Amino acid sequence: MTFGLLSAGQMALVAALAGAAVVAIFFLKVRHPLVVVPSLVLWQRVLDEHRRDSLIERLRRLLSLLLALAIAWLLAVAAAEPRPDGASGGRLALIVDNGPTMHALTGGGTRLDRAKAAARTLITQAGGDARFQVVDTSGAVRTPPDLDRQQAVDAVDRIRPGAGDRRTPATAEGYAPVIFTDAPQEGLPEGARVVSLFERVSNVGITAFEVRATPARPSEHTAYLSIVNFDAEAREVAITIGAPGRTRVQRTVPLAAGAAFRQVLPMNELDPGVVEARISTAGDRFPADDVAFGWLPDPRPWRVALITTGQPALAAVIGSDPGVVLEIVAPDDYRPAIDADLLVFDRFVPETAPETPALLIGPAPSAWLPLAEATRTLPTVVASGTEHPLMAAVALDDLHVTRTAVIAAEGAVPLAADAGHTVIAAGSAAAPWVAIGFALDDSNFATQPAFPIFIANTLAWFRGEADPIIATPGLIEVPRAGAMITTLDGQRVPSTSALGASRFTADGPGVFFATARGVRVPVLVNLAQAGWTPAAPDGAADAGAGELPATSRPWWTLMAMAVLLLLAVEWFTWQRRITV
Amino acid sequence: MAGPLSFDAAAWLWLLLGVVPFVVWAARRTLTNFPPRQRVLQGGLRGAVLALVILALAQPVWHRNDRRVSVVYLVDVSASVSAASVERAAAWIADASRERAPDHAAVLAFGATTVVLPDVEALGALARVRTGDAAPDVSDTNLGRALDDARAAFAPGHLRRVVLFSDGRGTAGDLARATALLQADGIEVHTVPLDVREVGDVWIDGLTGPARVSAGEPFTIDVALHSQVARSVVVELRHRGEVVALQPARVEPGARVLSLEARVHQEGPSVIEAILRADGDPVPQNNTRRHVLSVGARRQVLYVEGRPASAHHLRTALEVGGFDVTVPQGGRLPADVDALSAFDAVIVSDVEAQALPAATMAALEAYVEGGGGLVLAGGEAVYGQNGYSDTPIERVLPVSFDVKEPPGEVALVIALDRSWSMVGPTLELAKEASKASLDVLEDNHLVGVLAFNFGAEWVSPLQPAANRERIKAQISTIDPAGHTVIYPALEEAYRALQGVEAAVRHVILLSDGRTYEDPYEELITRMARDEITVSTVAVGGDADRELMTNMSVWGKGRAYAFIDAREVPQIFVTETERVARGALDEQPTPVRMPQQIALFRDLPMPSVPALLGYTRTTLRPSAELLLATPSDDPLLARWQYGLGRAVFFASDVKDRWGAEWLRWPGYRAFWTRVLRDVMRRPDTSGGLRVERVARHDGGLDTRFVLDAVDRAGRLAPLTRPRVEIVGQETQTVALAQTAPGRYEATVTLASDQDYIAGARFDGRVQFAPGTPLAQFVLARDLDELRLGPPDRALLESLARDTGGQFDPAPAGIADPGEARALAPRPLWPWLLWAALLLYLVDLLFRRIRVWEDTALRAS
Repeated sequence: MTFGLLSAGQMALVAALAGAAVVAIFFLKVRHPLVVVPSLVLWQRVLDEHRRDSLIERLRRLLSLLLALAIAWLLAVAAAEPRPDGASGGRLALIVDNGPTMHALTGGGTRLDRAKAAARTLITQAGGDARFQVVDTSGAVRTPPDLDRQQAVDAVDRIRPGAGDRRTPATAEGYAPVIFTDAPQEGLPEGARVVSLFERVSNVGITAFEVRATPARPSEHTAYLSIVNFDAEAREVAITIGAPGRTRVQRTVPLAAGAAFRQVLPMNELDPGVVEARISTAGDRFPADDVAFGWLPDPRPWRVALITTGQPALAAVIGSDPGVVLEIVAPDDYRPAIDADLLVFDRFVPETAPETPALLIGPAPSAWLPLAEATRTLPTVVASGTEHPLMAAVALDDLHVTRTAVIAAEGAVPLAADAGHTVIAAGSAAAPWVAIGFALDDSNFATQPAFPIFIANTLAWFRGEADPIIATPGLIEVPRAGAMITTLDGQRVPSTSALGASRFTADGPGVFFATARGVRVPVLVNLAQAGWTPAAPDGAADAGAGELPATSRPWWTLMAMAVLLLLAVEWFTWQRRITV
Repeated sequence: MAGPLSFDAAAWLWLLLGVVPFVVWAARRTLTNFPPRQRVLQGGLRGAVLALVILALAQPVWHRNDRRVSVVYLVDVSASVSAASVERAAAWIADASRERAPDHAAVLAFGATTVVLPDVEALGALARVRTGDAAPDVSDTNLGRALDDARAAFAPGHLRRVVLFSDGRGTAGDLARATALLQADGIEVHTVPLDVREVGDVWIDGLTGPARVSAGEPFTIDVALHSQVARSVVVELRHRGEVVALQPARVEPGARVLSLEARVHQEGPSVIEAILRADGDPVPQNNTRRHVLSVGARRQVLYVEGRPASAHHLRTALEVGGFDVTVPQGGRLPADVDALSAFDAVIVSDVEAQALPAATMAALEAYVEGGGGLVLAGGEAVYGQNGYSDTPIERVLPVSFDVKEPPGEVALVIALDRSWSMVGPTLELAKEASKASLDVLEDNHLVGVLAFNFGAEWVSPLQPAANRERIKAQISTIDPAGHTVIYPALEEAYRALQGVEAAVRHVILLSDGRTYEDPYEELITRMARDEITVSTVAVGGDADRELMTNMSVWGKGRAYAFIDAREVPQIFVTETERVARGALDEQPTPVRMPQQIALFRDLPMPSVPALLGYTRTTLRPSAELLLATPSDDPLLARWQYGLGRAVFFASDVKDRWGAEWLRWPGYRAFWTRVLRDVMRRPDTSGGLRVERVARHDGGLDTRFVLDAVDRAGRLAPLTRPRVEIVGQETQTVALAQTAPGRYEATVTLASDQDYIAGARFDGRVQFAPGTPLAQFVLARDLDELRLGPPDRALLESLARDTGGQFDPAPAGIADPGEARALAPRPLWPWLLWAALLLYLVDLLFRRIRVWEDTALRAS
């Protein structure tokens, strides 16, 4: 036995002092009170009892002393943190594989849970002078070296499922690497100790699922589904496809060992939005690849009302969008309650800000859309804010404007400007509007190739959606700064924003939405990947030599529990004068 | 963890609830004779010991607020950073340590890799000599990896700060990901800009060009240059070792873009290499850059010319410009959209509308709507009633053939030969032609009909065309007689028109015979001087065509010659329309460019010659006017029609009205650009593409994505798709299907060699023409040696996003301010020690009597 907090000599001294104190206190005579007893008979009985009970009394006193010594010594030894011989301190770099296959379920949680438990055991069984570095294979956790045990345990607790690959990360010099993994790793340094979490599990998984439009017919969508039985036995696989919680396609297919099911499925009968593909197989132990998500755009035509006295070019461009149903309304017939998804005001501004999203072209100043006086200039229009989705692929090289108003609305995002004066601007998500300071007749914008692109971008921006991002679990990047990330049911997900993009962590498959500047981007997190199965990694049935550290309680806790019991026993027996 | 205290085994805390009841329960059953007060004390002590042991078993951890600061100084010593800058960084660090040394500090030097330096003096040494075991690899700047390495360099339990000294010009790694991890760990990054080496270098910063071109098609490569000094340079573009473009230039300090035009004739994946030549350039390693492009088949153009003999002008120009031009036999356009779709653009030049059946026009309209490109060039055949008015072709065009402003007053004299030779159908047809002409005229136009043989007689004197019914009746009375003498008729017509004030005064002369020699030239020349024009129609084989043609030339009109008189009525109507509606303007017309257009950039437009005639049209409201006459009539207009584009050129593309243009140096480039602008956009939805993906460990993966989209735009299933990668060795990698029609594979390739990758699959799939199925994967360029100015914007953004400061003062870097780090401390050993001490006290108070029993004393 060795001690984590004290040396052997120190422990011996403490034990001796504690024992001496107990003995010394124990042998203090309890001073009984003086009581005058007149009866001689009573005294005789006292003397007789004393002579009869002396042996028992001695045994009682010895037992009581031993009990007290046991309690004191157990406390002293526990406080010094005893541990088995050989579990001394040292420098350990703990590498925890948090790759996708560690999602596999084994007895006692996932492989990652077991890996973290094993790492904690290794930490707690090490001496108090041991120092650690903790690293995961995805790179998300990478501590400095020289962590004490508590810090190391905290670092292990921070490890989450990620998308690490089979490359062993670098660790600090002088620290012996210990890797907790379920598969062979590349670049394992010499002398590294491998703790294998592998055990054969049954797995049938989705290896690919994605919804895609046919280029020739953009309104038609199909999905590709690939399922592989990684198991050594044939399996019956139940497949369901539909919106989460609403199944539209359901079938069961038999899959031989190692066989694959691959099919292209029509999607147009399904509801727009999230499409979930889910499989279930008896005995499957890797649920992370049993679900995958796709996205079906909303085919519902958008109702656009164009309020104008006549602008054929604008009507033609808007009306040519296959997803739009256009209604042309004369300004005199405009009513705020007009039923439309988007209002386009051509040289007309309503008195009050419309509640419906609006595109304003050549508007006059109004109380809710403050514009500077119209200027008669031939401005050089520079597209600024080109990262804004409205300006994607919009080239204004040949745009000539003879007269324009300058948009001065507070909170507006400038999109194109003339010498710092904004001539095209967008509002916020809370007040979604886009304003072009010049009328189409005062420019050649309507004849530019950029015009239909700008209108298409505007429609997409107002519709609030963009092409989905498909990612794998781990740290996910959304190329929009300051995006708010939410789950499918609207829960906010912590995220950070830096260098023009937003990032968040997804532990497993799921659907998220990233909303920035009024555009909502679906983020589909799928584990569907041909190479990720925990069933049987290529080349080896296990990750290598090395035993899983036996999960056991630290010795001090066992001692503390024993102390607790002895304290309780001693208290009761002392009260009953069984012990003294 | 919600507060400063947490428990690793909190379930033990439930036992605390039982401590007091147990202690009291046992105490009530006491057989000891201690006074009550002492029994209470004993119970309290025992309860406290029990509670301390239970608390220890619950393993509490105290997260102590720690103000200690650990600073990692991360210094960029890559090849781009100047030695003086690195020395300034060392001085900065030394100042920071003097002002207020952090509780822990580490100095890391980085480039492509990171090394830990023992002290700041080592940094100073590294500034001067960046090689050796103690130096990192300086061939790249991997900011992401450096920041990631910094995470592992802090002292635990401290406030963590990075001070990054760099020029911000990262060339490898994933900085964004590293920044996100720093943010997640709450690590501030303060940034200090470093200067790059100033060695008087000039280099190629980048190349921009199209990803796909057609064989033979000129394309532009923008070469971004950057120079630290003013100097003269020469930039070459090479393809397969041959120079395809060359341009000398004078560069000033800063950036400059040179645009070079090149063309490649071999189809397939290609690499264009830009080479910069500059005498005495100190860093030649950064003088090359390469651009990958996919070269498809030559673009196909169908050119239908109404006057085939003149087709060779435009055809030659377009073929030199890189197009394959098909001029169909017999000048016939296919009437089938699929047949038209084999071409990327269609040119219809000076073709009469009657020559295009309805089915052909409909096919052409559908072709443009479906994405094809159409150029309709004018000429005499395209205007007016017999032109494209009210046809599907007019719908497709950016102009309409309704002329906004007819020429105003028109006075027309029709002179008909009524000699004996005209007897029969010829004279009848001539009379019908004259009558038909009346229907073209406006009511206020003046028209007169002269019939002549050896003299001239007014069948109908000059009068408003509103009297057309009477005039027609008068025309009907013309009978054949006599023989042909033209001169008196012309004299009479001249006399009559001289007395008329009209914007247009014109004579149409029809004859089938020969006449005496008279001073026609003198007469007609006089007429032309008085702005009275003469057109002639020669009918039959005996007509003096030479004289008739000369008359039209002298008279600045047109000459027509027919064997078959049945063609007369049509030409009369056409000629009358031309005159009455002003649909043609046949005089030298300067060309005006209403505004600067990117399409014509760098063309010699200032020297564009005049056109000798054009068809008057009206621009549609949503069409773009590219060229115009001085009176704003459209000469060149374009617009979008459906998925395609259409261009109308009001003049002709050959040697009639465009005769001067054929000698203009910009003729070929002009038409090449117009055609390229209008033609079908290549289908970019399919093919093999290559993506480089940075890994979090700093490496680089290569992803191959094959989109199998067939010619009809359908997603095609492939059998055994794979990619063959040829480098120093050849490897074949299977592509896995990941979506309908999409196949992918990710491999790790060496970054210092070139590869060519080709998609393979079993069976046949008809891809759209030009779909790239092979791509180059080029070795990484040495971007480290491109010594551009520091990227201060990046450094500012990095500092801002992580809560740090840009260019902070050294003094405050170790000041924790209000920030605190949480240092966890397990408390259980202390609790057990406390339990031991308290147990000894507990034992003591069970052995000694502190208070006497007052009840006993009293007795």
